[in-house]
Amino acid sequence: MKWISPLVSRQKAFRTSLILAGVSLAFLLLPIGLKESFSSQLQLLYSPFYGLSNKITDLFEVYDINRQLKARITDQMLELTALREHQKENARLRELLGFKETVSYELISAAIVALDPKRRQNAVITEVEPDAKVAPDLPVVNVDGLVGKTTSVLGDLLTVELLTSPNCRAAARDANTRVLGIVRWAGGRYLQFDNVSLSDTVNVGDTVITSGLGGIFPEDLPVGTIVSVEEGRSPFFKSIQIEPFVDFGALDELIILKRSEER
Amino acid sequence: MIRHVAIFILLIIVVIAYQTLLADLISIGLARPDLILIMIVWLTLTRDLTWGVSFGFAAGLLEDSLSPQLLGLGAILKVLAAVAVFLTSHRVRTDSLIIRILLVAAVVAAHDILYFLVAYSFDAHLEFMTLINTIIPSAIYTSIIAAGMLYLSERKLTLRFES
Repeated sequence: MKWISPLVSRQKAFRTSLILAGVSLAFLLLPIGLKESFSSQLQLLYSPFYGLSNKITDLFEVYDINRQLKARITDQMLELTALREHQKENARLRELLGFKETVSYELISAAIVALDPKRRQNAVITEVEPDAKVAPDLPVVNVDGLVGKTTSVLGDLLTVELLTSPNCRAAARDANTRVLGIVRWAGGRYLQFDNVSLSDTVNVGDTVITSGLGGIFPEDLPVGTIVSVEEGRSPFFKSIQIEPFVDFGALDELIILKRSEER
Repeated sequence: MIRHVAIFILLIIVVIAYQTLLADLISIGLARPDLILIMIVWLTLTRDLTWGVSFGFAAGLLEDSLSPQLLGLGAILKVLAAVAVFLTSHRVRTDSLIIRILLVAAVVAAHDILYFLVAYSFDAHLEFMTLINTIIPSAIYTSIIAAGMLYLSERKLTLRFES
């Protein structure tokens, strides 16, 4: 009993401990009904804190929901923007489909065999397979873009008139702003993008593609990039220069697009 | 005397606020720091046994009210915890922080084991493994929290009592 002597020597603390332990034991041995009623009275002390706790929990939940909703709104904004773009594209394509028949092309490979001695800068002579059955006014391209069109055919040899010929013109459009015009060569290094009115919008750096409206060249063949846009030379039109994608001084393998119409 | 009562009530309010607002936020799995036991050890060592048993009884009874079937069990165990701390402090030098932290860990573990055994005898639908998984992590977690609190109390950053 030596170990308990410090407790016994402090009578007040010892008495308090015994009384509180006894009261606790009495609570423990109470019938459950009395325990519950007493507990419900004690729990009233907790109620203000539980109210505060619930409010804090609600606040965190609202914060989380708010963050999720913001993320969802951002996602839907992006989706909406993409859908609007698709809607515009769809409308444009539907419009085109309404006016055009379905056209498919057969690809015929042509090798350059000579330069046209009379027009060295503007035309080349090519050779195709004997059974290719090519005709004049067929579009000619290479891997970079639009090259020109076929003009005269003699057996398996045919002349291709290049875009750098004054006689070769192509209906085209600005791929970005959809503005229509005509591509032609007017001397020099660049091509000219004509018939674009002063009110139309074209920008330096935009790509020019064929529009398919001229009847010879199908749409969407790449032609070149706009390098300059000037106003003032003509009272009605802009003066636009295009750097062609095709290097006309280093032509090699060409491809003739032979149209076969289908419904 | 009035000042002592005010401090006592303030400590009880702190315990209630902790149990309702903070305990769930800082609990890790089943381990939950037992602030009441930390304060019982602290009050018994820094004040006297009367403070320890009184606070243990009041806080234990409040805690028991949340599970009415065992009303009084927490209170009596906390009174016994204060007595055990008091007796230990007369046999072991408890002025070292390490000893105090170990004392908190031992008190938490002993308290939880006794609570489990008595609750089990009261058929309180307790699962043995759950309590085993709770007692050791809680004792460790409470000791870590106690280390910080006792360190701060030594640095006189907590409440000071007049003699």
